[in-house]
Amino acid sequence: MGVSVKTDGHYLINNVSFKLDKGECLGIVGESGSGKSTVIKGILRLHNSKAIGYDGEVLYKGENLFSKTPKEMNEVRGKEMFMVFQDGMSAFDPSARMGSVCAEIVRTHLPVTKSEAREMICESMTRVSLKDPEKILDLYPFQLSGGMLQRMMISLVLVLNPSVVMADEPTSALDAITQRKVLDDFIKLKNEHDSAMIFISHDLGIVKKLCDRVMVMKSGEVVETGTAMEVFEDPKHEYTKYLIDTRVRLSKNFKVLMEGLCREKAS
Amino acid sequence: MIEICNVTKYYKEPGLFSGKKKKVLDDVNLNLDDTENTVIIGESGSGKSTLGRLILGIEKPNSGTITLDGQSLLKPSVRQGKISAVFQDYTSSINPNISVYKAIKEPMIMMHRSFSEEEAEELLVKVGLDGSYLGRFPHELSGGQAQRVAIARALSTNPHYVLLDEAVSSLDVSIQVQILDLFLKLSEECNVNYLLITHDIQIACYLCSRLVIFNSGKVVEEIDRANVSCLKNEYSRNLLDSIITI
Repeated sequence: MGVSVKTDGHYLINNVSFKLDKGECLGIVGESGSGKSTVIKGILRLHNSKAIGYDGEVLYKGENLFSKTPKEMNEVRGKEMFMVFQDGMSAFDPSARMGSVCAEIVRTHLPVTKSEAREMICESMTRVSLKDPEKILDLYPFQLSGGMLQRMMISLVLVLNPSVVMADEPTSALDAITQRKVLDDFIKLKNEHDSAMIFISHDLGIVKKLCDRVMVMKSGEVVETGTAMEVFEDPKHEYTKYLIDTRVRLSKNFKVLMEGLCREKAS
Repeated sequence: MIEICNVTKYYKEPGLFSGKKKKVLDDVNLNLDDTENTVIIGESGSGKSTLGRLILGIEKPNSGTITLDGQSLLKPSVRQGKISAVFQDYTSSINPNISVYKAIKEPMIMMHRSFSEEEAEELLVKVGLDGSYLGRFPHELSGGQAQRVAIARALSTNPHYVLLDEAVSSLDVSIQVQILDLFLKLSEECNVNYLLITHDIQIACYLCSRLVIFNSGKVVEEIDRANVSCLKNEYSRNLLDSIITI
Protein backbone atom coordinates (compact mmCIF):
# COMPACT_ATOMS: atom_id res chain seq x y z
CA MET A 1 0.00 0.00 0.00
CA GLY A 2 1.40 3.39 -0.96
CA VAL A 3 -0.13 6.73 -0.13
CA SER A 4 0.93 10.17 -1.11
CA VAL A 5 -1.07 13.25 -0.31
CA LYS A 6 -0.39 16.55 -1.95
CA THR A 7 -1.54 20.13 -1.77
CA ASP A 8 -0.44 22.51 -4.52
CA GLY A 9 2.03 19.88 -5.67
CA HIS A 10 3.64 19.88 -2.22
CA TYR A 11 3.68 16.42 -0.67
CA LEU A 12 2.46 16.15 2.91
CA ILE A 13 3.37 12.50 3.13
CA ASN A 14 5.58 10.86 0.65
CA ASN A 15 6.10 7.28 -0.45
CA VAL A 16 4.53 5.65 2.58
CA SER A 17 4.08 1.93 2.07
CA PHE A 18 3.01 -0.73 4.49
CA LYS A 19 1.08 -3.95 4.64
CA LEU A 20 -1.44 -4.86 7.31
CA ASP A 21 -2.39 -8.50 7.77
CA LYS A 22 -5.59 -9.83 9.25
CA GLY A 23 -5.57 -9.68 13.05
CA GLU A 24 -2.39 -7.65 13.16
CA CYS A 25 -1.88 -4.45 15.13
CA LEU A 26 0.32 -1.78 13.58
CA GLY A 27 1.45 1.17 15.69
CA ILE A 28 2.37 4.44 14.00
CA VAL A 29 4.56 6.70 16.11
CA GLY A 30 6.12 10.08 15.45
CA GLU A 31 6.07 13.64 16.70
CA SER A 32 3.36 16.14 15.90
CA GLY A 33 3.37 17.11 12.24
CA SER A 34 5.02 13.88 11.13
CA GLY A 35 1.97 12.82 9.11
CA LYS A 36 0.65 9.99 11.27
CA SER A 37 -2.98 11.09 11.09
CA THR A 38 -2.68 12.07 7.44
CA VAL A 39 -1.89 8.46 6.59
CA ILE A 40 -5.07 6.98 8.03
CA LYS A 41 -7.24 9.87 6.93
CA GLY A 42 -5.75 9.30 3.49
CA ILE A 43 -6.67 5.62 3.56
CA LEU A 44 -10.30 6.49 4.36
CA ARG A 45 -10.19 9.48 1.99
CA LEU A 46 -11.47 11.80 4.69
CA HIS A 47 -9.65 14.87 3.37
CA ASN A 48 -11.35 17.54 1.32
CA SER A 49 -10.86 16.22 -2.18
CA LYS A 50 -10.64 19.74 -3.68
CA ALA A 51 -7.70 20.72 -1.50
CA ILE A 52 -5.84 17.47 -1.12
CA GLY A 53 -5.13 14.87 -3.75
CA TYR A 54 -3.74 11.38 -3.54
CA ASP A 55 -1.16 9.43 -5.47
CA GLY A 56 -0.42 5.73 -5.27
CA GLU A 57 -2.90 3.11 -4.21
CA VAL A 58 -4.49 1.58 -1.13
CA LEU A 59 -5.33 -2.04 -1.74
CA TYR A 60 -8.01 -3.51 0.50
CA LYS A 61 -9.01 -7.10 -0.23
CA GLY A 62 -7.51 -6.62 -3.68
CA GLU A 63 -9.50 -3.48 -4.52
CA ASN A 64 -7.99 -0.02 -4.83
CA LEU A 65 -9.75 2.37 -2.44
CA PHE A 66 -8.55 5.41 -4.39
CA SER A 67 -10.50 4.36 -7.48
CA LYS A 68 -13.80 3.88 -5.63
CA THR A 69 -16.64 6.38 -6.00
CA PRO A 70 -17.64 8.44 -2.94
CA LYS A 71 -20.75 6.28 -2.52
CA GLU A 72 -18.75 3.06 -2.55
CA MET A 73 -16.32 4.65 -0.09
CA ASN A 74 -19.19 5.33 2.34
CA GLU A 75 -19.86 1.60 2.45
CA VAL A 76 -16.23 0.91 3.29
CA ARG A 77 -16.17 3.47 6.10
CA GLY A 78 -17.75 2.15 9.26
CA LYS A 79 -18.55 -1.41 8.20
CA GLU A 80 -15.16 -2.41 6.80
CA MET A 81 -12.90 0.20 8.35
CA PHE A 82 -13.83 1.91 11.58
CA MET A 83 -12.09 4.98 12.92
CA VAL A 84 -11.78 5.83 16.62
CA PHE A 85 -10.99 9.49 17.11
CA GLN A 86 -9.03 11.28 19.82
CA ASP A 87 -11.81 13.63 20.78
CA GLY A 88 -14.93 11.67 21.69
CA MET A 89 -16.81 14.87 22.35
CA SER A 90 -16.77 15.94 18.70
CA ALA A 91 -17.10 12.44 17.27
CA PHE A 92 -20.76 12.10 18.30
CA ASP A 93 -23.63 14.36 17.30
CA PRO A 94 -23.97 16.78 20.26
CA SER A 95 -27.68 17.43 19.69
CA ALA A 96 -28.91 13.83 19.92
CA ARG A 97 -28.99 11.27 22.70
CA MET A 98 -26.28 8.61 22.62
CA GLY A 99 -28.85 5.88 22.00
CA SER A 100 -30.27 7.37 18.83
CA VAL A 101 -26.84 8.33 17.40
CA CYS A 102 -25.42 4.88 18.00
CA ALA A 103 -28.52 3.09 16.72
CA GLU A 104 -28.35 5.19 13.58
CA ILE A 105 -24.70 4.28 13.03
CA VAL A 106 -25.45 0.58 13.50
CA ARG A 107 -28.56 0.69 11.27
CA THR A 108 -26.61 2.39 8.47
CA HIS A 109 -24.44 -0.68 8.20
CA LEU A 110 -26.53 -3.60 9.47
CA PRO A 111 -30.09 -4.58 8.50
CA VAL A 112 -31.63 -4.43 11.99
CA THR A 113 -34.50 -2.58 13.66
CA LYS A 114 -34.02 0.27 16.14
CA SER A 115 -34.68 -1.84 19.21
CA GLU A 116 -32.41 -4.64 17.98
CA ALA A 117 -29.64 -2.12 17.37
CA ARG A 118 -30.11 -0.73 20.87
CA GLU A 119 -29.93 -4.21 22.36
CA MET A 120 -26.73 -4.99 20.46
CA ILE A 121 -25.13 -1.76 21.69
CA CYS A 122 -26.17 -2.45 25.29
CA GLU A 123 -24.67 -5.91 25.10
CA SER A 124 -21.33 -4.67 23.76
CA MET A 125 -21.26 -1.79 26.26
CA THR A 126 -21.27 -4.24 29.15
CA ARG A 127 -18.29 -5.94 27.52
CA VAL A 128 -16.22 -2.73 27.74
CA SER A 129 -17.30 -2.41 31.39
CA LEU A 130 -19.70 0.48 30.94
CA LYS A 131 -22.18 0.08 33.76
CA ASP A 132 -25.88 0.82 33.33
CA PRO A 133 -25.90 0.95 29.49
CA GLU A 134 -29.61 1.88 29.22
CA LYS A 135 -29.06 4.96 31.34
CA ILE A 136 -25.98 6.05 29.37
CA LEU A 137 -27.84 5.70 26.06
CA ASP A 138 -30.40 8.23 27.31
CA LEU A 139 -27.73 10.88 27.91
CA TYR A 140 -26.25 13.47 25.56
CA PRO A 141 -22.55 13.32 24.61
CA PHE A 142 -21.65 16.34 26.78
CA GLN A 143 -22.99 14.52 29.85
CA LEU A 144 -20.47 11.71 29.43
CA SER A 145 -16.81 11.83 30.38
CA GLY A 146 -14.02 11.52 27.81
CA GLY A 147 -13.26 7.95 28.86
CA MET A 148 -16.91 6.90 28.56
CA LEU A 149 -17.17 8.39 25.05
CA GLN A 150 -14.01 6.60 24.04
CA ARG A 151 -15.47 3.32 25.32
CA MET A 152 -18.73 4.02 23.48
CA MET A 153 -16.69 4.11 20.28
CA ILE A 154 -15.00 0.83 21.18
CA SER A 155 -18.39 -0.77 21.84
CA LEU A 156 -19.51 0.37 18.38
CA VAL A 157 -16.46 -1.44 17.01
CA LEU A 158 -17.64 -4.58 18.79
CA VAL A 159 -21.11 -4.30 17.24
CA LEU A 160 -20.05 -3.51 13.68
CA ASN A 161 -17.12 -5.94 13.74
CA PRO A 162 -15.09 -4.14 11.05
CA SER A 163 -12.07 -5.73 9.36
CA VAL A 164 -9.82 -2.79 10.16
CA VAL A 165 -9.96 -0.53 13.21
CA MET A 166 -8.08 2.73 12.96
CA ALA A 167 -7.46 4.59 16.20
CA ASP A 168 -6.04 8.10 16.12
CA GLU A 169 -4.57 8.97 19.54
CA PRO A 170 -7.58 7.44 21.32
CA THR A 171 -6.03 7.64 24.78
CA SER A 172 -4.15 10.94 24.60
CA ALA A 173 -6.87 13.20 25.96
CA LEU A 174 -7.63 10.98 28.96
CA ASP A 175 -6.47 10.95 32.57
CA ALA A 176 -3.89 8.37 33.58
CA ILE A 177 -6.25 5.92 35.25
CA THR A 178 -8.88 6.14 32.50
CA GLN A 179 -6.13 5.88 29.90
CA ARG A 180 -5.08 2.58 31.39
CA LYS A 181 -8.64 1.26 31.40
CA VAL A 182 -9.25 2.26 27.77
CA LEU A 183 -5.94 0.71 26.78
CA ASP A 184 -7.00 -2.53 28.49
CA ASP A 185 -10.21 -2.41 26.43
CA PHE A 186 -8.13 -2.07 23.27
CA ILE A 187 -5.97 -5.02 24.29
CA LYS A 188 -9.14 -7.05 24.90
CA LEU A 189 -10.51 -5.97 21.52
CA LYS A 190 -7.30 -7.04 19.83
CA ASN A 191 -7.22 -10.44 21.55
CA GLU A 192 -10.89 -11.34 21.17
CA HIS A 193 -11.52 -10.01 17.67
CA ASP A 194 -9.74 -10.83 14.47
CA SER A 195 -9.89 -7.25 13.20
CA ALA A 196 -6.65 -5.68 12.12
CA MET A 197 -5.76 -2.47 13.91
CA ILE A 198 -3.82 0.69 13.12
CA PHE A 199 -3.02 2.50 16.34
CA ILE A 200 -1.59 6.01 16.22
CA SER A 201 0.03 7.42 19.31
CA HIS A 202 2.89 9.64 20.34
CA ASP A 203 3.15 7.62 23.56
CA LEU A 204 5.75 4.95 22.95
CA GLY A 205 4.87 3.11 26.16
CA ILE A 206 1.33 2.43 25.00
CA VAL A 207 2.43 1.38 21.51
CA LYS A 208 4.98 -1.02 22.95
CA LYS A 209 2.32 -2.63 25.13
CA LEU A 210 -0.34 -2.97 22.44
CA CYS A 211 1.17 -3.29 18.98
CA ASP A 212 2.78 -6.18 17.10
CA ARG A 213 4.53 -4.01 14.55
CA VAL A 214 5.67 -0.40 14.70
CA MET A 215 6.17 2.19 11.98
CA VAL A 216 8.13 5.33 12.86
CA MET A 217 7.36 8.47 10.87
CA LYS A 218 9.21 11.75 10.53
CA SER A 219 8.14 14.75 8.44
CA GLY A 220 5.90 12.72 6.14
CA GLU A 221 8.23 9.80 5.59
CA VAL A 222 8.64 6.38 7.14
CA VAL A 223 12.04 6.10 8.77
CA GLU A 224 11.75 2.64 10.29
CA THR A 225 9.38 -0.32 10.34
CA GLY A 226 9.73 -3.53 12.29
CA THR A 227 8.22 -5.70 14.96
CA ALA A 228 7.67 -3.92 18.28
CA MET A 229 10.47 -5.98 19.85
CA GLU A 230 12.96 -5.05 17.10
CA VAL A 231 12.15 -1.35 17.09
CA PHE A 232 12.17 -0.86 20.85
CA GLU A 233 15.03 -3.19 21.77
CA ASP A 234 17.31 -2.53 18.82
CA PRO A 235 16.35 0.65 16.92
CA LYS A 236 18.21 1.06 13.63
CA HIS A 237 17.47 4.63 12.62
CA GLU A 238 18.98 7.63 14.44
CA TYR A 239 15.59 9.28 14.81
CA THR A 240 14.01 6.20 16.42
CA LYS A 241 16.94 6.00 18.83
CA TYR A 242 16.46 9.66 19.67
CA LEU A 243 12.72 9.22 20.31
CA ILE A 244 13.26 6.21 22.54
CA ASP A 245 16.17 7.82 24.41
CA THR A 246 14.20 10.96 25.29
CA ARG A 247 11.31 8.82 26.45
CA VAL A 248 13.58 6.69 28.65
CA ARG A 249 15.24 9.80 30.08
CA LEU A 250 11.88 11.34 30.90
CA SER A 251 10.70 8.30 32.81
CA LYS A 252 14.04 7.65 34.57
CA ASN A 253 13.16 9.41 37.83
CA PHE A 254 9.70 7.90 37.84
CA LYS A 255 11.12 4.40 37.58
CA VAL A 256 13.45 5.09 40.52
CA LEU A 257 10.46 6.25 42.54
CA MET A 258 8.44 3.16 41.64
CA GLU A 259 11.34 0.87 42.54
CA GLY A 260 11.57 2.64 45.89
CA LEU A 261 7.86 2.08 46.44
CA CYS A 262 8.15 -1.60 45.52
CA ARG A 263 11.01 -2.10 47.95
CA GLU A 264 9.04 -0.38 50.66
CA LYS A 265 6.06 -2.62 49.98
CA ALA A 266 8.23 -5.75 50.09
CA SER A 267 9.83 -4.84 53.38
CA MET B 1 7.76 30.16 51.80
CA ILE B 2 4.19 30.00 50.53
CA GLU B 3 1.77 28.75 53.15
CA ILE B 4 -1.68 27.58 52.19
CA CYS B 5 -3.94 27.26 55.25
CA ASN B 6 -7.40 25.67 55.27
CA VAL B 7 -8.21 26.99 51.80
CA THR B 8 -11.68 26.24 50.46
CA LYS B 9 -13.02 27.40 47.12
CA TYR B 10 -16.47 27.11 45.60
CA TYR B 11 -17.62 27.69 42.05
CA LYS B 12 -21.19 28.39 41.11
CA GLU B 13 -22.78 25.57 39.17
CA PRO B 14 -23.86 26.42 35.63
CA GLY B 15 -27.35 27.86 35.17
CA LEU B 16 -28.57 31.39 35.80
CA PHE B 17 -30.73 30.65 38.85
CA SER B 18 -29.29 27.34 39.96
CA GLY B 19 -27.67 28.86 43.08
CA LYS B 20 -25.87 25.57 43.67
CA LYS B 21 -22.23 25.62 44.57
CA LYS B 22 -19.54 23.14 43.73
CA LYS B 23 -16.65 22.66 46.11
CA VAL B 24 -13.42 22.56 44.07
CA LEU B 25 -10.95 22.94 46.91
CA ASP B 26 -11.75 21.36 50.23
CA ASP B 27 -9.73 22.51 53.24
CA VAL B 28 -6.32 22.41 51.57
CA ASN B 29 -3.21 22.77 53.71
CA LEU B 30 0.15 22.93 52.00
CA ASN B 31 3.55 24.50 52.59
CA LEU B 32 5.74 25.31 49.62
CA ASP B 33 9.35 25.46 50.65
CA ASP B 34 11.83 27.66 48.83
CA THR B 35 14.44 24.92 48.77
CA GLU B 36 12.79 22.33 46.56
CA ASN B 37 10.56 22.09 43.53
CA THR B 38 7.06 20.91 44.27
CA VAL B 39 4.55 19.38 41.93
CA ILE B 40 0.82 19.11 42.26
CA ILE B 41 -0.47 16.04 40.41
CA GLY B 42 -4.14 15.52 39.72
CA GLU B 43 -6.66 14.52 37.10
CA SER B 44 -8.74 17.02 35.22
CA GLY B 45 -11.29 18.57 37.53
CA SER B 46 -9.31 17.79 40.68
CA GLY B 47 -8.85 21.48 41.47
CA LYS B 48 -5.13 21.70 40.80
CA SER B 49 -5.33 24.65 38.40
CA THR B 50 -7.73 26.47 40.74
CA LEU B 51 -5.11 26.24 43.46
CA GLY B 52 -2.61 27.66 40.99
CA ARG B 53 -4.89 30.60 40.24
CA LEU B 54 -5.36 31.26 43.95
CA ILE B 55 -1.60 31.33 44.47
CA LEU B 56 -1.23 33.79 41.59
CA GLY B 57 -3.93 35.99 43.13
CA ILE B 58 -6.13 35.76 40.03
CA GLU B 59 -8.92 34.47 42.25
CA LYS B 60 -9.74 34.75 45.94
CA PRO B 61 -10.37 31.76 48.21
CA ASN B 62 -13.82 31.54 49.88
CA SER B 63 -12.16 30.76 53.17
CA GLY B 64 -8.64 30.20 54.43
CA THR B 65 -5.46 32.14 53.80
CA ILE B 66 -2.52 32.00 51.44
CA THR B 67 0.60 33.80 52.60
CA LEU B 68 4.02 34.49 51.11
CA ASP B 69 6.65 34.86 53.85
CA GLY B 70 3.90 35.68 56.33
CA GLN B 71 2.09 38.31 54.22
CA SER B 72 -1.24 37.72 52.57
CA LEU B 73 -0.98 37.07 48.84
CA LEU B 74 -4.20 38.97 48.19
CA LYS B 75 -2.25 42.25 48.24
CA PRO B 76 -0.80 42.85 44.78
CA SER B 77 2.34 44.48 46.22
CA VAL B 78 3.21 41.26 48.05
CA ARG B 79 3.05 38.98 45.03
CA GLN B 80 4.09 41.30 42.20
CA GLY B 81 7.41 40.30 40.72
CA LYS B 82 7.88 37.48 43.19
CA ILE B 83 5.59 34.87 41.70
CA SER B 84 5.25 34.48 37.96
CA ALA B 85 3.67 31.88 35.76
CA VAL B 86 4.04 29.90 32.55
CA PHE B 87 0.86 28.39 31.15
CA GLN B 88 0.08 25.47 28.89
CA ASP B 89 -1.23 27.24 25.83
CA TYR B 90 1.72 29.00 24.27
CA THR B 91 -0.32 30.47 21.44
CA SER B 92 -2.65 32.41 23.71
CA SER B 93 -0.29 33.25 26.58
CA ILE B 94 1.60 35.85 24.53
CA ASN B 95 -0.25 38.81 23.03
CA PRO B 96 -0.19 38.19 19.26
CA ASN B 97 -0.01 41.93 18.50
CA ILE B 98 3.30 42.67 20.19
CA SER B 99 6.87 41.64 19.48
CA VAL B 100 8.87 39.26 21.64
CA TYR B 101 10.81 42.17 23.17
CA LYS B 102 7.63 43.95 24.22
CA ALA B 103 6.19 40.70 25.57
CA ILE B 104 9.23 40.12 27.76
CA LYS B 105 9.17 43.78 28.87
CA GLU B 106 5.47 43.70 29.83
CA PRO B 107 5.78 42.55 33.44
CA MET B 108 8.49 45.16 34.10
CA ILE B 109 6.27 47.94 32.71
CA MET B 110 3.51 46.79 35.04
CA MET B 111 5.95 47.25 37.92
CA HIS B 112 7.08 50.69 36.60
CA ARG B 113 10.62 49.56 36.02
CA SER B 114 12.80 49.97 32.95
CA PHE B 115 14.02 47.07 30.88
CA SER B 116 16.55 47.51 28.08
CA GLU B 117 16.95 45.46 24.92
CA GLU B 118 20.30 44.17 26.18
CA GLU B 119 18.67 42.74 29.29
CA ALA B 120 15.98 41.13 27.17
CA GLU B 121 18.62 39.63 24.88
CA GLU B 122 20.49 38.26 27.89
CA LEU B 123 17.30 36.56 29.07
CA LEU B 124 16.65 35.09 25.63
CA VAL B 125 20.16 33.62 25.56
CA LYS B 126 19.51 32.09 28.97
CA VAL B 127 16.43 30.28 27.66
CA GLY B 128 18.28 29.02 24.60
CA LEU B 129 17.24 31.61 22.00
CA ASP B 130 19.16 34.66 20.76
CA GLY B 131 18.82 38.38 20.10
CA SER B 132 17.40 37.87 16.63
CA TYR B 133 14.10 36.81 18.20
CA LEU B 134 13.49 40.22 19.82
CA GLY B 135 11.71 41.68 16.81
CA ARG B 136 9.68 38.61 15.97
CA PHE B 137 6.00 38.15 16.56
CA PRO B 138 4.39 35.15 18.32
CA HIS B 139 3.01 33.62 15.10
CA GLU B 140 6.56 33.31 13.76
CA LEU B 141 7.57 31.02 16.62
CA SER B 142 7.21 27.25 16.97
CA GLY B 143 5.58 25.78 20.08
CA GLY B 144 8.87 25.15 21.85
CA GLN B 145 10.21 28.62 20.96
CA ALA B 146 7.01 30.34 22.13
CA GLN B 147 7.21 28.45 25.40
CA ARG B 148 10.84 29.61 25.80
CA VAL B 149 9.74 33.21 25.27
CA ALA B 150 7.03 32.72 27.91
CA ILE B 151 9.70 31.40 30.28
CA ALA B 152 11.95 34.40 29.58
CA ARG B 153 9.03 36.69 30.35
CA ALA B 154 8.30 34.84 33.58
CA LEU B 155 11.92 35.25 34.65
CA SER B 156 12.23 38.95 33.75
CA THR B 157 11.19 40.13 37.21
CA ASN B 158 13.62 37.82 39.03
CA PRO B 159 10.87 35.90 40.82
CA HIS B 160 11.33 33.53 43.75
CA TYR B 161 8.65 31.21 42.48
CA VAL B 162 7.53 30.27 39.00
CA LEU B 163 4.21 28.50 38.68
CA LEU B 164 4.15 26.12 35.72
CA ASP B 165 0.58 25.20 34.89
CA GLU B 166 0.91 22.22 32.50
CA ALA B 167 3.73 24.22 30.93
CA VAL B 168 5.12 21.37 28.83
CA SER B 169 2.03 19.21 28.34
CA SER B 170 1.21 20.26 24.80
CA LEU B 171 4.74 19.81 23.45
CA ASP B 172 6.31 16.75 21.84
CA VAL B 173 8.15 14.43 24.21
CA SER B 174 11.61 15.37 22.88
CA ILE B 175 10.85 19.09 23.24
CA GLN B 176 9.41 18.40 26.69
CA VAL B 177 12.73 16.97 27.81
CA GLN B 178 14.60 19.99 26.38
CA ILE B 179 12.32 22.46 28.18
CA LEU B 180 12.46 20.47 31.45
CA ASP B 181 16.28 20.46 31.25
CA LEU B 182 16.10 24.22 30.70
CA PHE B 183 13.95 24.55 33.83
CA LEU B 184 16.49 22.58 35.86
CA LYS B 185 19.36 24.73 34.54
CA LEU B 186 17.52 27.99 35.22
CA SER B 187 16.57 26.85 38.70
CA GLU B 188 20.27 26.90 39.62
CA GLU B 189 21.26 29.97 37.57
CA CYS B 190 18.42 32.26 38.60
CA ASN B 191 17.68 30.76 42.00
CA VAL B 192 13.99 30.13 41.37
CA ASN B 193 11.73 27.40 42.66
CA TYR B 194 9.04 25.79 40.64
CA LEU B 195 5.55 24.89 41.51
CA LEU B 196 4.53 22.55 38.74
CA ILE B 197 0.91 21.65 38.10
CA THR B 198 0.50 18.62 35.87
CA HIS B 199 -1.35 15.39 35.24
CA ASP B 200 1.78 13.67 33.92
CA ILE B 201 3.63 11.88 36.70
CA GLN B 202 6.72 11.16 34.64
CA ILE B 203 7.21 14.87 33.95
CA ALA B 204 6.53 15.55 37.62
CA CYS B 205 9.25 13.16 38.75
CA TYR B 206 11.71 14.56 36.22
CA LEU B 207 11.54 18.09 37.56
CA CYS B 208 10.42 17.93 41.16
CA SER B 209 11.53 16.21 44.33
CA ARG B 210 8.31 16.67 46.25
CA LEU B 211 5.08 15.27 44.86
CA VAL B 212 1.65 16.24 46.09
CA ILE B 213 -1.22 14.16 44.75
CA PHE B 214 -4.58 15.88 44.50
CA ASN B 215 -7.95 14.23 44.13
CA SER B 216 -11.35 15.96 44.11
CA GLY B 217 -10.08 19.09 45.81
CA LYS B 218 -8.12 17.37 48.54
CA VAL B 219 -4.47 16.55 49.09
CA VAL B 220 -4.45 12.76 49.30
CA GLU B 221 -0.74 12.00 49.31
CA GLU B 222 2.61 13.74 49.75
CA ILE B 223 5.67 11.91 48.50
CA ASP B 224 9.26 12.91 49.02
CA ARG B 225 11.31 11.42 46.19
CA ALA B 226 14.46 11.19 48.28
CA ASN B 227 12.68 9.46 51.11
CA VAL B 228 10.06 7.14 49.73
CA SER B 229 7.59 5.69 52.16
CA CYS B 230 4.53 3.51 51.66
CA LEU B 231 1.59 5.03 49.85
CA LYS B 232 -1.28 5.60 52.23
CA ASN B 233 -4.02 6.28 49.77
CA GLU B 234 -5.82 3.84 47.48
CA TYR B 235 -6.28 6.47 44.75
CA SER B 236 -2.60 7.40 44.54
CA ARG B 237 -1.61 3.74 44.45
CA ASN B 238 -4.00 3.23 41.53
CA LEU B 239 -2.66 6.30 39.80
CA LEU B 240 0.98 5.27 40.03
CA ASP B 241 0.19 1.70 38.97
CA SER B 242 -1.61 2.87 35.84
CA ILE B 243 1.45 4.56 34.33
CA ILE B 244 3.00 2.78 31.38
CA THR B 245 6.72 3.19 30.78
CA ILE B 246 8.89 1.72 28.09
